[in-house]
Amino acid sequence: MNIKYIVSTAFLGLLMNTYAQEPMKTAMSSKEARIVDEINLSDSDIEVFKEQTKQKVEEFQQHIITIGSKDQPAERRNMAEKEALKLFFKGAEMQTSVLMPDGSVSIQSRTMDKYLARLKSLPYTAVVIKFYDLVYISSFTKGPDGKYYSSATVIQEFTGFTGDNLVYKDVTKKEIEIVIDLVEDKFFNEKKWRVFLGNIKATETKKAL
Amino acid sequence: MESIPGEHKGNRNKKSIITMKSAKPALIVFLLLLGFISLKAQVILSSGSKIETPPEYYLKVKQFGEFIDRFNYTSDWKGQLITEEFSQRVPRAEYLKFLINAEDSRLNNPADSSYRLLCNRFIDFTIATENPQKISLYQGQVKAWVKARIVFTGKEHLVDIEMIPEVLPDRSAKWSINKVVTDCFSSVTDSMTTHFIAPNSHETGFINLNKLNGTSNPAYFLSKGLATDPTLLFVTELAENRLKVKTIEHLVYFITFPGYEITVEEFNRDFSNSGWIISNIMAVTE
Repeated sequence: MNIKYIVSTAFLGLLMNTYAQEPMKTAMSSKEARIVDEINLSDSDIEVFKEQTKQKVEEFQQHIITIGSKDQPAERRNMAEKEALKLFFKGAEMQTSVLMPDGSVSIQSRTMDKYLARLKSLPYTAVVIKFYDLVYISSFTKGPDGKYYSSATVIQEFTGFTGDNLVYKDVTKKEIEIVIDLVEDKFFNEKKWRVFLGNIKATETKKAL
Repeated sequence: MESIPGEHKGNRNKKSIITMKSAKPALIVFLLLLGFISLKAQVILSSGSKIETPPEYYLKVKQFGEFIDRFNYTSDWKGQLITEEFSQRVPRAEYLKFLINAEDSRLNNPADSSYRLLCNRFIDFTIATENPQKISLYQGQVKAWVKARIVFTGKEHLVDIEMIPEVLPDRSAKWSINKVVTDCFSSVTDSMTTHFIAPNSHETGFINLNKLNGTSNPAYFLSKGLATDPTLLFVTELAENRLKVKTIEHLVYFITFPGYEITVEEFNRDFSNSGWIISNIMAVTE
C-alpha cells in the first residue's frame, strides 16, 4: 500500500480544522492572468462581493426558516415572505425536489413568489428547515450586460411533521444564481453595486435519517 | 502500452502513483477518517437554524468552478486560497487524485493497468514544474455538453447541445450554443420537397425569391448542408415558437490539454470523492 498516499489523505481530513495560514497564490501565465484580471474582479472586490452575497444568502435562509415555521405568527411569516422576495431579481424561479417512495426524485420549478406562498401552506403540522453553515460562493464574472454573475451553494435540511410524527426529511443541495447589478441609490444620488439572488436549482436530494 | 502524447518525463521525485493496491485501501482509510469527523460533526450541532456542515460536503466538489480551482491548486477544501502549509501537507499530485472518480472500475482492474498508468501520466503531466497545467474557462479549453429535453411538434425529444464560453470585446463573458445534435428535425427536412425554389428560377432572375416572404420556415430554402443543420433548425424552430426547451437532463464538461482530454461529470453520492470530478481521462493526438 502506498504509505505516502495514506498519510496525505489523513492530512486532508485533519486539515479540515486547521485554517489560519497566510494565503499563497500559485503562479499564472501572464496571458491567463491578464484575461482573468480583465474578466473577473480584483481579489479585494471579490471578497467584498462574497461577503455581501453571503449576507444576502443568509438573509434568505432566515426568511425561509421563518416562512416555514408554522408556530410563528402569520404576520411575521407574511413579512418574511415579502422581504424574501425583495432579495431576488424579477422572474427568479425556485426548483424544489421531493423524494418519492420509490427512491426517485421529483423536481418542479416555480416562480419565487409561488414557491414562498406554497411554503407557508405545506401539508404538515410543523416544518423545520435548517441550513448547513457552509455557503460556497464561486468567483464573479462580468456578463455582456455589465452585471457580475456568480453562484452560491447551500445545503438545506427539511423536516416535515404531522402531529408528533416525523413524516418527511431530506437534505438538498441548492445552487443559487447570484447577480450583482449597479443600481441607483436615489437618496445619495449615486450608483451602487447591489447583490440580487436569482434562480435556485436543486442539484441533489437525499433522504435524511 | 502506447506512448502518451504530451507525456512529461521529468519531475520523478514528485511523482504520485495510483496503483490498483493503493487506490481502494487509501480511500477506505480516508473514509474511516471522514467517518470520525462526520460523527463529531453530528454531535456538535449548533443551536438555532444552522447546522455544522458534515465534512463530506466540504470535500465534495460542489461546483464546476470549484473543480477548476482545485485542479489549478488555487483553493483548498473550504474554497480558501491554498496556503504554504496546505501545499506542504497535500502536494498537488495528491490533491488531483481526489478529483478522479475513485469508483471507476478501470482503476481496480487487475487484468488491465492501462487506465491507472494513464491517470498517473496525466497527473505527472499536470504538475510538471517547467509547465504546470491549469484550466482556464475562457481560452477554448472547456466545452460543456447539455442533454436537454425539448418539446417539438407536440412530442418530447432529447437533444445534445454543445456550449462554449466566449469572451466579448468588452472583456465580459458568456456561454454560447456552439452545436446542436439531434435527429428530431427529419420532418422539417421532409418539408423541403414542398418548399423550394424551382430549378429554372435562374432564367427568371430569381424573381420567385419573394416566396420567402411569409414562409413558415425560411430554412427550407437554404442549401442542403444548411437546411439540414440541426443547430440552425434548432434556432429557427425556437424562433417560430414550435420548439420549447423543457428540462436539462444531464451536463458534462470536456477539457482539453496538449495530448489529453478529460471529462468532468457530477457524481452525487454519500462520500468525499463526489460532486464534479473527472470521469474519464483520454490521451488524444494533437
